[in-house]
Amino acid sequence: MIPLFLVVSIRAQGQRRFRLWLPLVLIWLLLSPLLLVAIPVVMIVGALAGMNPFAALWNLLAVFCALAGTHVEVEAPDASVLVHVT
Amino acid sequence: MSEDRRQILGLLAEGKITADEADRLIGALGRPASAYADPPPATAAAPARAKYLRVVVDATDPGEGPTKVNIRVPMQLLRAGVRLSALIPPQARDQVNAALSRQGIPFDLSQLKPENLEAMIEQLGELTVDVDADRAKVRIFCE
Repeated sequence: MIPLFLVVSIRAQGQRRFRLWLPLVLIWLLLSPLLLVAIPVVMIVGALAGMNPFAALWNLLAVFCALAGTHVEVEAPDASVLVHVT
Repeated sequence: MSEDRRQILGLLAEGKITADEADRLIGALGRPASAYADPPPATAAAPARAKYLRVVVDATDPGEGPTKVNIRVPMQLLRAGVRLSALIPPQARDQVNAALSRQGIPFDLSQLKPENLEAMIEQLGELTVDVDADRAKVRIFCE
C-alpha cells in the first residue's frame, strides 16, 4: 500500500519539539507533473548505464510502497528524532 | 503376544477385517497415547510470517545519559531493496564487492538473487540477536 503520511518529529537541546505531518498523497499529486518529465530521463540514463529501465522503475515504486510502516526513533538526552511512515 | 494383538489377529482369521486393516490396528497399538491427541492448531505449528525487522538499542553513556534507538523496518522494504540491488550494473557491483572485501566483509552482491530472497527472509523471521553489554543493550528481532 502506498504510504499516506510521513510524521517527522525533531527536538534539539533546549528547544521545543518540532512535529510535522506530511500528507504524502498531496505531495505526490503536486510532484506528479515533475515525475512525468523525470521518468523518461531516468529511463534513458538507466538504459545507458546497463540497467533495465522498466525493472528499475518498477522496483523503485516497490521500494516506495514498502516504506509504509517504517519507524525510526532516536531519543538522546540532548536531542530526539522520530520518523514514521504510515 | 498381547491380548489386543491376539484379538486383531482373531478378527483377521475370521475374515471380519482385511489384512490392511489388521496392519493399521496393530501399528496403532504401538503408538503412544499422545499420538491420538488433537493436533495443535495451525498457528502454533507454523509461526506467522514476520512483517517487521526491529532494532532496539538501549545505551547509557556516563557523560551524556541514556540513549534509546527504536527502528522498525518492514520486511517488504527488504524484499524491494534486494530486488533493486539485483539491478545494479555489473561494473558498479564489482566495485561494491571490492569495497566490502576491503572492509572485511567477503560478500558477493551477485549472489543476492530474487530467487533466494523468500528463503532468506523466512530464515530472518527466526532471527533474534541479543547483545547485553555494560553500557548498551541491543536487540534485533522480527515480529
